[in-house]
Order: sequence, then C-alpha cells, then structure tokens
Amino acid sequence: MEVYRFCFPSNLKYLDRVYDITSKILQDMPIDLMAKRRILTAVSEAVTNSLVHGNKENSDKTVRLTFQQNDGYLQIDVDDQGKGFAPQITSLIESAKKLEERGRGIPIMKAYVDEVRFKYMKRKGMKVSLRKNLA
Amino acid sequence: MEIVRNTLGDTAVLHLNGRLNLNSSAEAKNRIKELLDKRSRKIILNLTRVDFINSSGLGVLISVLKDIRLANSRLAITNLSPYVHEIFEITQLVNVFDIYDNEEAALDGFLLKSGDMGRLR
Repeated sequence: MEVYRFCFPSNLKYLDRVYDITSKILQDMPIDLMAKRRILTAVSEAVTNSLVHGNKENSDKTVRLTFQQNDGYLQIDVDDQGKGFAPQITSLIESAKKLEERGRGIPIMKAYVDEVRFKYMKRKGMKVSLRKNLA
Repeated sequence: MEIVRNTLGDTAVLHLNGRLNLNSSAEAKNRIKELLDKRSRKIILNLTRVDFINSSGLGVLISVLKDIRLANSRLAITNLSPYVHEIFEITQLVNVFDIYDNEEAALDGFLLKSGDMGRLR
C-alpha cells in the first residue's frame, strides 16, 4: 500500500498546487486519462469545500490531503479543521433550470468517484473520503 | 487563466486558456465581462484550451451567461474537450448553454436562431 500525504494552509492559491500534486500521484496509476481527470475534479471539489465551507479560508487552519493506493482502489481523504458543514445535495436539474452559480460540488464528486463519505470529528474537523475503484 | 479576445465579423470570440477553478474564477469572470463591451451582441467562448474546470468554473460561465442574457445578447460555447463536455452533461448544463463543435458551427447557429437563413453558407 502506498500512502502520500500533503498538508497546506487554507488559501485558494493552493488549489493549483493540489492539482499538480494530484496529477503527479495519478500519473502512473493503471487508469485512463478520463478517469484521472474525473478524480482530479472530485479532489478539487472536496478541497474547495474544505477550504471554503470547512476552514472558512482561515490561513491559520490547514487542509490535509491523503492518498492511499491499495489493491484495486484509491482512497483520498481530505481533512479540514473547521466546525463542520452540512453537505448539501443539490438537484443538478433544478440547479441548471435556475441558473444557480454554486452548489454542484458534491454531485460532481458523487458522479466522478465510486464512493463519497463525510465524517465530522468533534474538535478536529470534517473528513471527506473519496474512493475510486481502479479495477 | 489567460483570456484572448478576437472578433469574427460582428461576433466577439474569447479564447480561454488554463484552469477554471475557484482560484481563477473571480479574475476570469471580471476579465470576461471587461472584454465584452456593450456592443457585443453575439459572443463565443472557445474553451479548447481549458484543461480543467470544476463547479466553480461552471459558476463563472453561468454568471457570464446571465449577464449576456440581460443585455439581450447571445452566447455560444465551442471546442469542448470530451472531459469538459462530460461535466456539462453531468450537470445538465448542456440544456442551458448553446454548445457547438467549433466557432464556424456557432456562427451558423447564431444565424439559424436569428432566422437570417439567407446569410447561411
């Protein structure tokens, strides 16, 4: 099992760094380019939620990103240090009809990986776990 | 994100280049709106060089679409990679935006929608 960890302050400028690091980790995985891009997108949504809704862009708080590659699947955990947030499940059809500018992050995550879990740990923050089958 | 403006006849064409995420969204939104002067009635956003987009980037495009509709102008989006097209499909935004394979098809689309068939080659 390979594990990669990356911790960064809650500043939006790190979103590009997250993209670069995630791309590098995915580079040699046995999945096609589209699958890699879907994972990259799901990770970016989870990290954006942690920065904005979890840590409220407070640079004193960090976000930790952990990649674990096991036999047959990749698990990505995104941990923030916020007070938790209620994951909102939006109807994409309604959002499109109403021309909503926000609220599509979680549905996109759910579309792009096989499993999305949210867990709030008291006084620690929210953990979002993304799991993608590689087989 | 880099944005370059060209014109094709009476149509403003903006070429977007780079990643459209929350970090680039405010700048991208302001730049697009700045580049679209009030005389632009037909606008094409060419996304051929957009190599990444997420919900924040889609939010920028929706904001631009709302402004364009308010100004009674028209917007077409062109040259989506399979990856970018997929996210438009998943989010149902294929039903909101006029999406074309390329700029020429978008120009034809503008003519068809305006009923000006005589000018269509």
